[in-house]
Amino acid sequence: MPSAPIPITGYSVCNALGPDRRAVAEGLLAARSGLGPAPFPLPFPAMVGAMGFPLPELASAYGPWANRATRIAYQLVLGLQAELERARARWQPDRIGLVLGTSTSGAEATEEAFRHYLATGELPSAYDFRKQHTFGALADVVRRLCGLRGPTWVVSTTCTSSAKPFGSAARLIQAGILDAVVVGGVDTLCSMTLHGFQALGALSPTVCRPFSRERKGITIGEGGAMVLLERTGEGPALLEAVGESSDAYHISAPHPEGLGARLAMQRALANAGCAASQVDHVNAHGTGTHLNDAAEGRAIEEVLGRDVPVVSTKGYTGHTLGGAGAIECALALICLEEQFVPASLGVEPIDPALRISVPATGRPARIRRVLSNSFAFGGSNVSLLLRCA
Amino acid sequence: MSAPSQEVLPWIVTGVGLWLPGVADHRAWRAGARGCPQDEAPPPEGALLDRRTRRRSSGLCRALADAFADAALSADVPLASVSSVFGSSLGEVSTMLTVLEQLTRGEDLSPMHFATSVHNTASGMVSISNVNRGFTTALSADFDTVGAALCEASGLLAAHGEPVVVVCADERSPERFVAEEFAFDMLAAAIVLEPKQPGRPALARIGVPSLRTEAPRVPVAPLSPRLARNPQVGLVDLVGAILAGSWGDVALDRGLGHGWGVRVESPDS
Repeated sequence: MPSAPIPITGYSVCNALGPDRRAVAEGLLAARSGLGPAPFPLPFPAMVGAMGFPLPELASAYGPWANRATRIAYQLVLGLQAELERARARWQPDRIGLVLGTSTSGAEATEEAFRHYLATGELPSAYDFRKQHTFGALADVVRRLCGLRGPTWVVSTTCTSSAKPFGSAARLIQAGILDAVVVGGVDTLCSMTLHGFQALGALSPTVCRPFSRERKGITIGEGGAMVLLERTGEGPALLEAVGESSDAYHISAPHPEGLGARLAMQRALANAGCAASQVDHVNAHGTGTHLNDAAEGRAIEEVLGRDVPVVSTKGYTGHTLGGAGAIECALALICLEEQFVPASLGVEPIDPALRISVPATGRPARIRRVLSNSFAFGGSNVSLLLRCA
Repeated sequence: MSAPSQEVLPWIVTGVGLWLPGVADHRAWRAGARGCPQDEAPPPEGALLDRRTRRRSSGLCRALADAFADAALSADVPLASVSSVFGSSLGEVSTMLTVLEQLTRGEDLSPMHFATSVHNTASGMVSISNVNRGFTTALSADFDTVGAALCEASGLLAAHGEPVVVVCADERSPERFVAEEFAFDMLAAAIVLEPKQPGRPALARIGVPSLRTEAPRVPVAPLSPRLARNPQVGLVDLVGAILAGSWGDVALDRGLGHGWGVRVESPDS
């Protein structure tokens, strides 16, 4: 039996397109890429989706926890302030949970501390591994910034990290365990991920071109998004269902036939009691690697057919890894609110082996449902099904 | 968190698993083993993992796999479809630090090290080895990880009504980053939760985890300080209480978290 949709009553987002929902929507509608040169030296050619705008400083009480990840999270909390205040007044604070996703958390701060350690033999005096590096520290800071007292944790499943919290939240609300959950995710640019994807041969030397015949790999970005889900309420859209699966194939490569991706999409549709023909737009995972795009293209064709517009937004923001699921949920919400299908930047010439419809230009469209895909290392797959309220 | 059905204890426990240094499984614990210094014990085997995957796995991954196997096999749940929740505070921290050291020294990064430095490595490796295309996740909440993992499992049980394996572990704390007074050795524990069903043998009944009440707590097993400081020790305490038949409220941390606890009762109550 399909589960009841969960109202999305607010969201905030920041990434290479800008610091808030307005700037991000403007960039998306204008088909403007936020990708550019890396803000730090790299020994190989690569572009990134860096956030070039200033981030808010945390209050001095949060000083020991301050790093780029917590400052991005603070930016998101500020963007969701009014909705959080309303939710705190409406529900008991211990019945509002927080489930965040990240893959890097404070890794960027640890990189800097480790460089200092190798140079001097000591970690910097201001560096505290537990407060700067760990996932739990990020979650705890965000919980305090949001004024919540409910269950709080971080999901870290690499590139599905901030998509899986939507499933956790939906289950907890539907079970009556919680009344509201703030979900989201944050990831920062750091050397380790850039070098790591380069070592895997997955990093593009130029801006990524998902689904293009000329695609050469991924471009890493940074940013985050937070979404407020409540038992009841009014907002821009509904979380209709979540589908999750595992490839059970390889630790860092997708199933070549997109088996896990197909299962995730099918499970989302089944959980919603929704036919494939009722999906009006797909925000694809679309990383820009040959293997990922081929597997996802095949899976989308099998589940949804060849005509639904499939867009990768990685050409706007880069692949924000642990932040991608939540950021792309926010981009899908913008598409629902604006009734718009964006351009899939860099797609032309489209890979002729793909039998899906990938628009090279944006256009207004009547959209009732969007399916947003996220796939990850470990064969983790998540599909979020969102629809207009 | 105030859960809706604390009075009812909605789930049953059908299997438990352990790996601690010198404690290979829950049967060894039941026989009285309580662990030894990590350097004096054989490492976890990771026998659940297929040979290729095991070759690439860390000690943490093998400990998680051993505790998972101990619990899942004793509960006789289907390995190819059972849902799983993997919890860890620091995750694959030693692999991550190896990658960081390679990076900082200007060496080429090992693609294999990078790919297996992520938090969901064990979750992925167990699903690959069991060809399980169902639900699995990997989460972290520092000293609240066990409470968070049981909370996630409660949502899954309510939504799907199928068994869930919760498995939590942390490997030895990284020497350079954690001061000696907070340092800990590796341990792993697992528990299989299911909805109540007539005729299904159970070890205990269990509730939805909640924030600590003032109720008296089930006493915990004596462990060495280096094991007792492990952020996942609360799941060892829960498994120990179930194996000992010590019913009541079990704390899911040893004072360093926000105070999650869970109620366990006799399966016959």
